[in-house]
Amino acid sequence: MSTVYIAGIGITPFGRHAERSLQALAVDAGEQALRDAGLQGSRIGIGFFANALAGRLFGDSTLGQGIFAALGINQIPVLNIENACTSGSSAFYLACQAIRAREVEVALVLGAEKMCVPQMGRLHSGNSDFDALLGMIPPASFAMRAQRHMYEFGTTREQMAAVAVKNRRHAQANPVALYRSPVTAEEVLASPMVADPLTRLQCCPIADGAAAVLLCSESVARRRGARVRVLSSILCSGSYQSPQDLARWETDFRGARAAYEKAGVGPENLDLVECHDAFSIAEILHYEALGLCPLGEGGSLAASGATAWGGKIPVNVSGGLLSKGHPLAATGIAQVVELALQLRGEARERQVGNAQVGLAHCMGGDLAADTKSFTLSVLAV
Amino acid sequence: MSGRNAAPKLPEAISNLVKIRHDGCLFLDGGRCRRCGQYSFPPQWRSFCCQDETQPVAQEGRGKIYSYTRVHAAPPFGLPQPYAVGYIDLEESGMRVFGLFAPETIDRLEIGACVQLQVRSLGTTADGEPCLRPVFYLQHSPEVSL
Repeated sequence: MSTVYIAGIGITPFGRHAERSLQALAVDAGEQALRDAGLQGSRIGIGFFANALAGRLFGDSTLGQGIFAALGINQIPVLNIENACTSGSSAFYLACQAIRAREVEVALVLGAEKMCVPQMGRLHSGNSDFDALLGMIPPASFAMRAQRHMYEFGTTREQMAAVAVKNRRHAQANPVALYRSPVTAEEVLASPMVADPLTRLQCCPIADGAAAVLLCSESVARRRGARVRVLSSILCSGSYQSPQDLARWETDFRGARAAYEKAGVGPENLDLVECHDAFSIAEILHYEALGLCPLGEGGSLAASGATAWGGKIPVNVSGGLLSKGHPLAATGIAQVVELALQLRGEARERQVGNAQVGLAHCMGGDLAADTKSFTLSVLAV
Repeated sequence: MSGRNAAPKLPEAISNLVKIRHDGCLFLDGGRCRRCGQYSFPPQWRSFCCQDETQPVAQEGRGKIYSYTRVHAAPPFGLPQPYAVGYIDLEESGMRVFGLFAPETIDRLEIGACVQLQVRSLGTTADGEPCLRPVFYLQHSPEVSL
């Protein structure tokens, strides 16, 4: 099996791009990744295009081939990937497999989403989904986890607000983030209630944006001088067995264990984490599942400052979904872009000192009180 | 135009799983593993536990609140604003199911409170049809237990 390396990265600013099409955003990120790697498009052996919503919002389907063609890439296998919020990281997972299996030497993963359009409406699991018809929307799903976490462990609203405050503070140093102004805990708690206890500033905003990662085999990496390697990349789905424990997310714990085991590292080896902070409570739950703190202590960890830049284990130094915005299929790839920047020592003002091992964690969709999809990747130099 | 005078109906994705018995009581159509009796809702063709077939089982919509939230964001499908949802631990099987709460109960919800299922009209959908839904209402609300 070949070790997988990251040879190139690209990302557009996240936010409202009224004047740019989904395709234009994807091509922009892809072009950056090719330039960054110093590779011709003709070297790409397989292409993945991740997108979650273009079918519903624009009536488009199978967009990837056209986007790769615009980048001058044709004839190769191109796959279009939809896997809710993990669309991008699921594509990354598949690209890793293709290289690890020595099927190809170079793979290009693009993820793009355009959500800031009038027809966007509210995100849910579909018009014929039992839970969706009963009012299940993503903030409600996480609000119920928050209620349970508060009830069992005494987690407070202030501790949850601390996550939002921290990630907004981080985003000041990230030029691609949608929200780059700091907020106070008082402002977070006083923002309009979305689903009790989650206020608006504890829910990630939608955004347009694209991100790209160019992966390669060890031999290509050696020639190109690419140093960031993938220690593990896992994808799993939920258990969907009742009763699910909303305060101890079994899939989150199980996925983390699998990724650590494959990577041969543990939480104590991590220098930074990018995790799926779609809601403030989510980051707290992920601290516990990823082993950054004992069960039930995620709230205290958030309030302690240990997960802030300069702390013991910085989490979401990019600003996270809460500040960057969450263009669904770009999100999982953007996390890998951030890790690659950090591990290459090119993250400028937000650089984590001597970053050698980083973890990207993403989740998507809601089914039977569990996630539909879970991805985790561990990267190192 | 045959639909004009027809009684309002539950959306199909709901009526497939929630049945109104002749006495008006609501039941959830779940499944049970033929071998070990493990419950599933929605029913599965094959069980996770024994990888065996399941048999249909109707469960009473009665249980206790495991968690809940009041949703203040703009609601989907013509649901009221705000509305409340939660997970209910069913009495018979211990299954944890997702559901809506009756509008008048949303300020009195508590983890552990007893609830029961009922069909209600919660407003009007975009097509002008009544938004019919099964909802959990509090069984022993403080007012009643006085």
